[in-house]
This record gives sequence, structure tokens and C-alpha cells, in this order.
Amino acid sequence: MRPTDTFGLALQNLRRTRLRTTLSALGVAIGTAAVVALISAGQGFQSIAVARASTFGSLTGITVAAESDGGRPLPIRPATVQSLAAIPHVANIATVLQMPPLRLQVGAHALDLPTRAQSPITQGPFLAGTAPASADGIVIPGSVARSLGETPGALVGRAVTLTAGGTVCCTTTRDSLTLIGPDRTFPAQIAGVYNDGNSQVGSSAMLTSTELGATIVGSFSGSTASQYIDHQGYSTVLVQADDARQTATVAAAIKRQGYRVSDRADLLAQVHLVFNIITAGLAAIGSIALLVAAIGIANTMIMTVLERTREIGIMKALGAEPGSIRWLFLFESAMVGILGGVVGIFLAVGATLIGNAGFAKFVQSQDPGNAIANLFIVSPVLVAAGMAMAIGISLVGGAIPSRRAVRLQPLDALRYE
Amino acid sequence: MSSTAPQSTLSADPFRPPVSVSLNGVTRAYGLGLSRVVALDRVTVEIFDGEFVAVMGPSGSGKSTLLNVIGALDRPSEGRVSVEGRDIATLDAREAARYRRRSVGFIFQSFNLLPRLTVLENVALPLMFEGVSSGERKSRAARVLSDVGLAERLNARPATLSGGEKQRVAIARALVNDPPVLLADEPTGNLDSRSAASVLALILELNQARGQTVILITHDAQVASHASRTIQMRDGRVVTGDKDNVDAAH
Repeated sequence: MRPTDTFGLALQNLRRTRLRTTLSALGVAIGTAAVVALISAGQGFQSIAVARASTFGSLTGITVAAESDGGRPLPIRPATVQSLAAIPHVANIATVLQMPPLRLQVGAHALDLPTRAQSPITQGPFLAGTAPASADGIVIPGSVARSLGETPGALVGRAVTLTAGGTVCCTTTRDSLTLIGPDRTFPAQIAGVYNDGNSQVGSSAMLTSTELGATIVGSFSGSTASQYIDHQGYSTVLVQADDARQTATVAAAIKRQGYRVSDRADLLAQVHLVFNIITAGLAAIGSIALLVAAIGIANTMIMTVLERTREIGIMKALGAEPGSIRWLFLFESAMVGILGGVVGIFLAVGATLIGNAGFAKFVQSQDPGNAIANLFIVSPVLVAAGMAMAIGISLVGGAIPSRRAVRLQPLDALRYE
Repeated sequence: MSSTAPQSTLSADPFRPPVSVSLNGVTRAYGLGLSRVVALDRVTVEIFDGEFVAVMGPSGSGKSTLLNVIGALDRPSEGRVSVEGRDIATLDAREAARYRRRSVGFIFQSFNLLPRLTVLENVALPLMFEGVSSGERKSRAARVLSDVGLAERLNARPATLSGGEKQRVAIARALVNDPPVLLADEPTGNLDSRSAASVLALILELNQARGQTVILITHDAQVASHASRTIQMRDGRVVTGDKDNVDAAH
């Protein structure tokens, strides 16, 4: 029997029982719509959460230490920094140099402050001024301005003196370097004042460029800034991926260069995991509807086989092969599945469009100007999977009835009234 | 087409026609133990090519079982059934379907037409199962329908036909694949005498014009009188008309 004839006969049979076909297909449609809509919601939640999480610096940041994975010293020289910058999905690179505390002298006032040398300076937000444009520029915390009794704006552009050496002391910061030797002074100017909230003076670091930092530290061993960095390398490098979803890839690429890295990409993996679990849970709930639809199809098709027992007997007596009979009923089931799947996907897409519009309105009312993400995401893969599920579940539902039809003995079927 | 069919041991006799259907020690029993019912009891029959055989006997004598076994609708419990030289007792479901489609045509007492299909579609059904294209199906079915005198009713539904017309459609359906053997189970049983006469005339004509072997079950001695031979059955056994009587009949 030709497939087109099987198809035609199946279609004819479906048309014969239009109401029943419609109801069975409706069951599949509702099941498919439920699964597709719920999974699209799960994927939407996930996408929103990941997008939000991705903007957190802590999730995109990778700290590269100047040592191997095994803990052996491995300097990070300027050439290394350039090779790191060439890694795909690296958005920013900041070099950091470990510094001793420095004494900041502004006019008659002097304060010993923990210091950090970093290029470029990414600390913010600024109360006044900007990140330094020149190598001698420094950024001081707002708490220093307060203790000096001056407004941040008045301090910007002010020439200051930085002092390093054995007498500068005792601002108990971790990780600080101790320099032994006579005090040396270096001219600098305040380029910006950053907001450190209500911190106590001395708890927030003064920031210099790595170049100025290297000049200061190098002077104690009689080397210039570039000599110092070429020889010692940077203490750490902060690499930022352009997207939290790329953090792990970038970190792995840096690791391949031999460095020990630390990142929080695992946090994003956790976010993904949580939402995958939620999506799976939603899909499972939706699947109940599909299961009911499959039972509905099985029930309908069993009725159909029963009703057509005599007809099946006649067809077998006239020489219909078992395979033809099986496919006749499987085609019928599959067509119910296709019909239900198409309607169900339209239902789901319609519902999610309405849902997304409503969600957008809600977000606007809460936070005008917010970039609105979609609450439901119906991907082409989801549509295809929904369709495949609808057809698959219909074939499962049709399997038992079609087997019954195949197994009918022609004589028994012919005698059936 | 059956002139090349293998013949029984009697084939040494040049005056015997070739064997079309042969049953050898065929038993068909249903159930087990005390509830065992023997529908056919060691039946041995030979039917020759082009013969018109009437099968008679009281109800329950095994006539229909005999026909069903020959048509591969039923399977013998024991014995050998050979049609056109082919052993059909051992066919699997698929081979049996092919055999029914190509080698036998069934005509039932209750017509067994599919009510939702047109006359033409009903007749074309065996061709559809054979995988014949839609166009060829239609032309072949229409030709056979015109042979049975129903050229005008191609698109009618079975329900709108008279009993005689329905049986003509069924005969057309049985003939559409041009099978060598026609099996008719009381084809005139549900018809009034006029229709019965014309249906019988049609079957006789087919037997003579096309040379098809016809095995026909009937209760009607009048009908049986048209047959070249009558097989009488009782309690699952052939009482008269088996091959030993053929020489006398010829």
C-alpha cells in the first residue's frame, strides 16, 4: 500500500469523526501549549537572571596571580599583559602593583594611607575629578577629603607630595609591602576623589597608577619604573570578561598560560543550574497535561479500532498487510498530534506574547526607563521540540490501538457486529 | 495461468485437468479438551482448474471453515492446503495477506462492502493494498464494474444499492485483481430469487468466460445444480463429491 493512500485513507477516517478528532487534538493542543509556555517561562526567567547576574562585576572579573597554578612565582610582565588582552571576550585589563603605605602631604597636612597602584584606575564613583590622565595623578578616597576639612572639588588639581620609606607606617593593611630605607618623596597631583562612603580615614586606599607605583617602589632598589616592572612584573592582573557567560572560557584560556586564576564563574553556573531545575520542574508539570492527552488519544483510537473492527476484517480479507493496517492507525494518531501540536504552539505563542506585553507594562510601572526583558522566551528549538513532543505522544497513544488492529484475526473481525 | 501448476500424483493421466486447490488430511479444531470442536475432520479434496464446485451441507458441517482455510482466513490445525501449487498453511500474516490479495477473491453472503466508500472505491480497494496507482485503480475498477453491469453506479454509496447490486459490487471487487480462485460463501443467501438468479448467472458466466475456479457454498439445490460438481459435507467431513467421485461426474 502506498504511503499516500494510507495517508488519504487516514485523513478520510479523521474527517468522518470530526468532533472526536477535534477533541483529541484539543487535548494535545492544551498539553503542548502548557509544556511550551511553561518551558518558555523557565527560559525567560533564566535569561533575565543570567542577564542581571552578568552585569555584576564580580561575575565577569578574573584575578590573575603572579604565580603558577602550583604556587611557584610566575611574573606577569608587560608582554604577558598584552597576550592576555588578546584573548577573545576580554573587555578590560587592569594591572595591579602591591604598594607600601604612603604618606600623603597636602599643604601642611600629612596622612599615612594604604596605597594601591592600578592602571587603569577603575575605582568609582568619583565625588570630584576623574581617573588620572597623567602618570603622576592620584585618586584619593572621600574620607581623606573629609579629614582634611576640604570639599572634594577643591582638592582636584592640587599638587601633593607622596612619601615612602621606613617612617611611613602602621596603617595596618593586609598585603602591604614594607620598604626599608630612608624616606623618599615624590611629587604628585590629585586627579580625582572617589566615594568611599562613611569609611574611616585610613581604611580606604589611595590609588596611583602602576607607573607612579613602580617609580616609587623601584627607587629603593635604584631602578626606573619600567626596569622594575620588566623585572618584577605586576603583582596581579584583573581581567574582565565582556559577559559573565564568557568568564569561564576566558579564565580557562589564562590558565593555559600557566597562571593561577580565581573567578566567580561558578556563581553563574549555579544560577544556570537553579533555573534549569526550575525549567525541568515546569516542564514536568506541563507534561502531565501531555500525558493526559496521550491517554485521551489512546482511548479515542481504541474506540476507533473497536468501531472499525468489521472494516479492519474486510480490509484484511481483501489482502491488506499488517503493516498497512498499523500505519493506517498510526497515521491517524500522528495527524491528531500534528493538528494538536500546531494549534498548541499557536496557543502558547499567543499566550506568551500577551504575557510579555503584560510583563513589560508591569516593569514600566515599577521602574520607568528599565530595559524590558521578555518573561517568556519561545525559541525555534522549543517550537520544534513542542511539535515533536505532540507527534511523539500521539504515536505513543496510537501504538496500543494500532497493535490491536494488527492483531485482529480477520475471521473474528468479519464476524464482529 | 494455472496450466503450469504442479499436479498431484494423478497427473500421469493426461485426461485430468490441472489441480487448482488441494486439501490433504486437513483438520481444523477449536478449543481444547472437552470443549474441543472439530470443524474440519481430516478433509481431503482436490478441485481442478476451472471447476465450478458447489459445497453443500447443514449448518455447522464445516463448509465455511473449508472456504476460510482455502482463503487463508483460517489456518488448519493439521494437514496440507495447497492452492495453485503453493502451500498456504504455513504462510505468515504478511504472506497470507498477499496471497488473499493476489490468488483468491472472496464473495460473502453479507457483501462486506465498506459503507463510507463509493462503489468504485470499494472495488479498487484490493488494488490499493497492492500498491497500484490511483489512476490505474480507477480505470481497472471501472472496467470490472462495467463487466458486472454497474457502469452507471460508480460513485454511488453501497447503502443506496439493492441487494443484487451490492453483490455485483462485491463480485467486481473479488475479480479486480484477476485471481485464479473465487470463493463464494452463500452469495445468494441474502437475495430475493430474481437477484439471486442474476448473481448466479454472473458467477457462472465468469467461471466459463474467464476460466476461474469457483468454490461456492450454498443451501440451495437449485443453485448447486449449476455446478460442475457438488461436495456434500457433514460433521466436518466430505461425504460425497471428493476426488473419488470426480471421474463419475466427468
